[in-house]
This record gives sequence, structure tokens and C-alpha cells, in this order.
Amino acid sequence: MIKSRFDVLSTAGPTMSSVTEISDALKLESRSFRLPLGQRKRDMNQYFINIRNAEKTTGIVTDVYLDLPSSRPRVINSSDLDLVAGESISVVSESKVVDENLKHFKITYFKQVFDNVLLGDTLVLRDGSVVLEVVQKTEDTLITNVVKAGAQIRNGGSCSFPKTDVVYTSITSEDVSIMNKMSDNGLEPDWIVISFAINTDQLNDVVKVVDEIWPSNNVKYMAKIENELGVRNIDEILTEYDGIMIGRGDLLTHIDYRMFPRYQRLLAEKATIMNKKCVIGTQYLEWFATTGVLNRSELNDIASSIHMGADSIMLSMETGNSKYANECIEIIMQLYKTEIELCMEE
Amino acid sequence: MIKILSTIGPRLHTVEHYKLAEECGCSMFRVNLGKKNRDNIMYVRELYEAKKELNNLIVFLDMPASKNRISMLKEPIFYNKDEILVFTNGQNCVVKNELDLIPVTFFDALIEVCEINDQILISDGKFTFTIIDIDYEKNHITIKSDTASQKITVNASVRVKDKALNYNLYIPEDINLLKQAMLICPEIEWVVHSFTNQGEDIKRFRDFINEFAPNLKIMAKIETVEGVKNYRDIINCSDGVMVGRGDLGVEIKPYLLPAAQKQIVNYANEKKKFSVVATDFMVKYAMTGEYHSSELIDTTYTIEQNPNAIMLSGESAASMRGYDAMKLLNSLISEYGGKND
Repeated sequence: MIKSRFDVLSTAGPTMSSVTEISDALKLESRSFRLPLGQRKRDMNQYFINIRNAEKTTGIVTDVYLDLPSSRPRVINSSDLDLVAGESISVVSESKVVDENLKHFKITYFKQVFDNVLLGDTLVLRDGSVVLEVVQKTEDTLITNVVKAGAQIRNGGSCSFPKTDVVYTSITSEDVSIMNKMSDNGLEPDWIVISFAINTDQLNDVVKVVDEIWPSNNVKYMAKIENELGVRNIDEILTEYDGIMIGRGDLLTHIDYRMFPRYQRLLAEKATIMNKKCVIGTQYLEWFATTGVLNRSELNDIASSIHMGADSIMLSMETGNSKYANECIEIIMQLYKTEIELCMEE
Repeated sequence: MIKILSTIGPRLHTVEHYKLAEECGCSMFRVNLGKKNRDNIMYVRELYEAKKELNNLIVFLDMPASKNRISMLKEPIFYNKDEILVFTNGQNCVVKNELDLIPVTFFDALIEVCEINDQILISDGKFTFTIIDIDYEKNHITIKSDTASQKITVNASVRVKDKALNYNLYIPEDINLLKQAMLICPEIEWVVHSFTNQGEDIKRFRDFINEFAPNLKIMAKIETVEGVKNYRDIINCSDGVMVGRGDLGVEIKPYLLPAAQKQIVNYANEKKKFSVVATDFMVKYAMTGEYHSSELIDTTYTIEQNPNAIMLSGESAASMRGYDAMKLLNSLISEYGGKND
């Protein structure tokens, strides 16, 4: 069911950060912007200021989404690593001192994972391009075997543990610090996005903290569905949250691929029935954003998602880190207009 | 069940390959006669042998049409942004006054439609150049490259953005290939007519091939603006239709492609004509071995439209994951597919 209102949610980043870049996106009908707080090295506060300035310049009002990364581990203090399938690589906490001859990388929030991970569990990075299997646990190290070496391990990259039973903390002290700074600057978001949402406990934890920073009660809450548990609990989630975001990159690495199209449709349809906002995000135009050449599957993917009932399609690196940011927004909006005109004719 | 049509190439052409493909759920195969750097006649001979052992094997011959292509190059040529080169007629690449003169096939048809400031697209739009000069006496089209570090290879397609050419299907060399193929393997079931613009193209082609291959079924490939406009007429005149997403994605505005695909397949189903949707289904998977959201959603969206077949191109012909791509496609068809009579 195509929605009568639809827009592109653009992620801010190096190629979507200045007042000019944001103003251009606004004019192309990207009416919402996402600030991924997990990108700690980027000045989200300044991006936010620029968004509000772009609103003043263009006279176009937008929604700003703060995306809380959760305590999901990220690679830290490590140089980029090339991998070879079959080799051994150690994973340690950011504070551990390691012999430089030992091939390793460090991750944030190591302990929560270490306490829960079992032998045979996997660690997935780069949206599934890198897969490591845990073969040994010492007192403070995970020793893994490289199963798939499809890309480098990059500093700052996020890590997934699809088989491990771990519940991430939804809001961290770093998030609070950034949000307090925003509040001090008179900036208030429209949405807070909670990563790896699996139930309403996480919502309650976040609301408690956010209400202290922004007591106006205007902020809305969006659950990012990125694993099997989130899908299974969708009815409860849709009852309490104001909307959902389907985080396709992580969702695909956490479920059986054959279920993926079914889940995307199910989540979008349920959100529509419950009259809650549905954003579907990532892996839309990455090929085009990188090469400048359109892959035909990307076009059908957008059309299908629009028909499933997306209120917004979210672009990530396509706007945040690509010279084709404006073209990406244009393609999606042109597709939406074409599809809805055809629906009205029928 | 929706079928898989795989394109033959270096990794898919022997009897053993076809048996393996059948185990992966694919028993329809396409020879792309347009790929001049492949031994198409050898492929047809191998198909003939394979048909003796594999009863369900169905063959499609894809006729190339007179698409403009880069002609004789000894090796790929690299260009940087703003570098200038010249397209011309003739056979061989030469260097004159420090400029590369690159021959392009069917040059007369190309120079007829070109204007200064038009954009030239190479390899289905992968690389672009701008026309800065045209010399009708010397038969030179001078172009400047728009992007950095482009590599041009022999046989790379050449077209002019937003301009329609009338592609001629009846090139003696290609017709001879078709006749030769039919002699070697008279049981070939389908011929694919490229760049079909109207039903009349198919009627004319049918009269032509009736003389030497009256049992051949004709599949009209729709890959132009005119073809999309006239899809009903085309489908009415043909035995089947192929949505050629590769060229179509370049010839029409890209945001019109999903709707064009849906309308063509729907009408083909209505008229009970065989329909195939082609190209760009599993390219990322074939390159990386990873599932990708856009490919899974695109494939299931296409499956839900219920065409008779989905076609793999480079994924099967040349990638090391061709059989894995067939298995993946097969698993999605099993999970999401409808019935096809």
C-alpha cells in the first residue's frame, strides 16, 4: 500500500553536513535527516545546527532523527586489517595491552559480549563481508578463525554477534553527553531511534533519560528492528513505540536470508495497520552511490519498498559519504511519484 | 514454477556444466550471439550434445542487432577526465596528431543522430563523454571524457544519451551465425529479437526466418523507449517477450523501469505469452558471495509478478559463483514463487 506522503530520510555525514548540502537535499524533498550518534568522530552537534540553519534558509521544516547506536561493539584503536580466510585473529577490550605480533583488534563494550559469547558463535563485520568464528576463550581474549574475508576490518566499524544471546544497553553515557550538548545549544530532535529494539524495556530506559534532557514531551521514539527477536516482538513494539525503522543491513545478517523479504513486508504492513511510521533503511543505492552506475535491482527494490508501505526510505552512506547524494535522493523521489501516479490511474 | 534462464559463457558451456546447472535448478540456456569474443558456434555444438542427454534443456539464441560498439582495439585504453579522443569509422585504432582515433561499428547511424554537447555513453552508461566537435567530411566525432580513469575495451557498447537509433537486425554476419546454429542444432527452441520497437519488426523477422527455421519461436526483447511504448503490439505479434533491463535502464528514465517491467509482464501473462525478466538480479551476490537486501527484494518483487523465467547474464556466464547464483535464485523461487502453466 503506497503512502500518500513519503520522503527520503538522509543520513548526515561528510557529504551531507554543510548548510548548502542540506538545503539542496531539502529542495529535492528529503524532509528528514538522521544523525547517527555512533559515528563518534563526527560533530553531530554541528550537523544539527546546520540542519536548523538550512531550514531557516529554505523555509522548509524537517524532522531530525537521533540514532542511538546502543552498546553494540565497534572496532576501536585499531588500524585497518587485511584478512585471509582460515587465519587466526584475537578480539580484545579497548584497554587491553597486546603484543603487537599477535594479530588482533579491539572492540568497545567487550565485556558484555565476552560474558555471553559461546564457542562456535560468530562475529560479523562490514554488513556480512567479514565473518569470524569464536574458537577459543581465554580469561580476557576471544580467539577467532576467519571464515569469510570479504573486506578489511576497519576502525570504527560496527560488530554483530548474530548467534550470541546479548542484550545491548540502549543508551550510553557518551550518547547522553552529546545530547546534553545539543540541548544546551537549543536543539531538540523530533525522533530518537533505539537500535536493536526487542521490547519496551529499552523504550522505558531511554525515555527516562531523554525526558531529563528534553522535558517538552515532543520527542517521538522509533524502534530499529535488526534481529529475529525484534521481528518476533513486533506487535508489542508497535503498540508502545511511535514508529519502526527496518535496519536492513544488520537484519539480514541476523536472520535466514529466505525470510528477509517476508519480514520486510510483514513489518511494514503491521506498522501501516497500527498507523505507526515505518522507515526502511540502508542498502538501497550503495552501488550507485559508489560507482555512479545504477544497478537495476536497486530500482525495483525501491519500488517494492514503496509498495510495501514505507513512509520513508533511509539512505545511509548514499548521502553521508557519496558524491551522488543528491542524485540518490532524486531517483527515489522520482520513483515514488511515478509509482503513486500509476496507482491513482489504476 | 518460474524457471531460470542462464547465459552461457566461459564458466557455463560444457555438458558437465549443464548437468550441474540442472542440479541447481536451471535448464534453460541463452547463447548471446552479440558476444563476438566468444566461440558461439562451439557453444551451439555443445548444446546440441547436451540436448541428447538432458531432455528438459531449452535453448535461446540472442540476436545482437546493430548496436554501436568499439571496434578493433589491441588492448584496453585508459582515459582520464577531460582527455580527448575521436570516434570514427574504419577498422583499426590509430593515433594521429597524438589523438586516439577509435573505430566504432555502424558509425554512419551514430554520426547521423549526434550533436555537439550530446553525451556519449560507453558500456551501458558506465563511462560518459561529451561531444565537443563533429566533422562530417572526415567522419570524426571528437569527445571529451567526463570522469576519471576510464577504461575502454573492444566491443564496449556506444550510444548517445536520450537519442534513439534504429537498430538493424539483419546484419549478414549475424544472420549467417543464426543459420549456422540452426543447422548444427535444429531443435533450438527460441530466437530473441533485440531492440524491438514495434510489432511490425517481429512480423518482418518472422517472414525472414520462416525460410530456414519455421519452427523457431520468437521472443521480442523490449529495451528501447519505442519498445516500451508499443509493448502491447509487440507482445501480440510475438511468441514471448523479454524485459531487457540492462539496456532498458539506460534507454528510458531509470525511475520508469520498475513500472515498465510490471506492465510488460502483466500483459504477457494476460495474453499467455512466455515472459522473461533479464539482467542485474544477482550481480552483487556473484561478485561477493554475500546476500544483499536490494537483490533479495528485487528478486521477490519480480517473482510476485509471475513471469515465466528470470534470466542471469554475467552471473552465470563468467562469474565463479554462477551455480551458487542459480541455487540462490532457485531457493527464492521455491519460497516465494507462484505456478506457471
